[in-house]
Amino acid sequence: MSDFDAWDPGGPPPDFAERVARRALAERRRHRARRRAIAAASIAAASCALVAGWWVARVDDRGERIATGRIDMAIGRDAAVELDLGAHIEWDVRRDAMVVTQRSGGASYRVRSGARTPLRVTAAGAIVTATGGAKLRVVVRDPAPRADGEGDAMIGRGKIVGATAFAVAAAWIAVIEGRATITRGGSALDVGAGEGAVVDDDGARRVVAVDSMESAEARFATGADPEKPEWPSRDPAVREALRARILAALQGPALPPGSPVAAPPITAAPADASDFEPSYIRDRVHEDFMPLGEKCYVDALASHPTLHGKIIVHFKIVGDEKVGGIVDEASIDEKSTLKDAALAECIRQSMMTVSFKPPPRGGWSTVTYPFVFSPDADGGEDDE
Amino acid sequence: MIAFAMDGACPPARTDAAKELPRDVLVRCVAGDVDAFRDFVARYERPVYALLGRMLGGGADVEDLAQEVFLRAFRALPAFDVDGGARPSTWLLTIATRLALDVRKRRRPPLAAMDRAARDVAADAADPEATSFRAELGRAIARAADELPDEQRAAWILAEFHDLTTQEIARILDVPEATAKTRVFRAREKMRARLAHLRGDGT
Repeated sequence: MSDFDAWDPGGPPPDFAERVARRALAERRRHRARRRAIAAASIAAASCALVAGWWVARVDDRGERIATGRIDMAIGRDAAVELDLGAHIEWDVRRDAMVVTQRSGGASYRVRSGARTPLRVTAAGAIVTATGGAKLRVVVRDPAPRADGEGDAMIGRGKIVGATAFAVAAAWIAVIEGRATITRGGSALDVGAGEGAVVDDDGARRVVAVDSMESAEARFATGADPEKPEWPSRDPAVREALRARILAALQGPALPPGSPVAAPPITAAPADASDFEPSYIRDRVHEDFMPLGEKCYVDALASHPTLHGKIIVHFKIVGDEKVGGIVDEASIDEKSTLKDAALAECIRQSMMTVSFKPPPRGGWSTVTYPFVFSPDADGGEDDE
Repeated sequence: MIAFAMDGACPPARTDAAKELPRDVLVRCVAGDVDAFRDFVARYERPVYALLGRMLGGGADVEDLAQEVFLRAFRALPAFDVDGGARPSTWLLTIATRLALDVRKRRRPPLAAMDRAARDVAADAADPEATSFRAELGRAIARAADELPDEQRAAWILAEFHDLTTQEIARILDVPEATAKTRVFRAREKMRARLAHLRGDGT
């Protein structure tokens, strides 16, 4: 024993071990209770997160939207849609497909490359199916009567339809990238990039637009034949509006209305006439000009029954890809052998009514077209 | 005339395994058995209490700290490696020493010293008859030890009263072994000098 042991610090109380053991036990119980509380809270939090996640996913995967402006939104994880103002869709992302029902308006769909399920859009009774990488546009023409009187205005122009705006629901489908399959009534139509189709009560049919898909869609939306540009000859106001749109699209200077010989837009550049296939020009002239030209000649024959000869018409086609093409200038060549001023002016004016697709490379294109008039036979040949 | 066993760097390492808790009880402690833990406390309460008492100079807070030491041990026991070679006693003294050093750091030494001096005087005045030579010796040692720097005091107490080796002291104080050895040596030198008047040799 060391003398340092004289320094006695004292010892623990007799029940020290028991008190410490009791405290340890109480601490363990508190600890276990706390752990249970934390576990319960964690489970509750996880449950809340699960419910919230389910709710968010549910909102994303199913819903309905009427666009109050241009809206870009996702449809599940693999598709997106840009809605035009007023477009109305319902969507439901299912295991086997992203299902959309488009009630009205226009919508541009995109399907992500590598999408696991296809996009299936139901519009006007048809089902449009597109797979990964596809881009397509769907426009539904509602059969409901129009409140804005647009239908009546079209009736006034002698354009289409019946007592109300549109007799039947119809949809315009344009495939921008990839492919889409349109099924309706047991038949299927496969549409590729750059192609369009119309679906109505008669089924689905492919549309070959003479100008652009945008123009075809615009014609479809107003009830016109999407394949053929409007014939504005019977409505000068419509023709002027179209002309203004073309010029605006070409960013050219404003021209005075009704100026058939106005200068072409400054920013436009002349296109080679060979941009157009001769057969295309001939077809368009036969289709759009000939009925009017014949009428001009028949009217002229009433005054001069032996009137005959050649009238050479020079005309200039201007256009924009998004709007279409029109004849902006038309003139009668002095070498024409048929010298009747009234007939020549009628022919010139009639030529001004013909619509074409815009010059493929933009700008304008000039065409020279001779017509041979004879009381015994009609016809003409192009001489571009 | 008294003689303090202050020669030599450190006492030999204590290897008496019998003083440790039986292995099976320790295993039950690690498993969370409260009854075994009670035995664990009963086995080690005296050295822990003594260490804290000497480090802190006694007082009511020693019991609180002793309980805190064992509760910390109780929380840490599930991670104790029964076969890892560490002695439970050394492990407990490590916890107690670090806790005591922490408390001393927070204390204001001058006041603590004054309190103890006042208690000593009061004790003497209250029961002068009880004042024995051994009690006086104990107080003298306590006063001398109280003047040691905390780290030297801890090293010296562990060496002198708990028979720990320099290596064990170094591990408890988390310092190199040489540092622990130096601290023990310097503490002994100081204690020798401060208690010289009790040795009667004037050295």
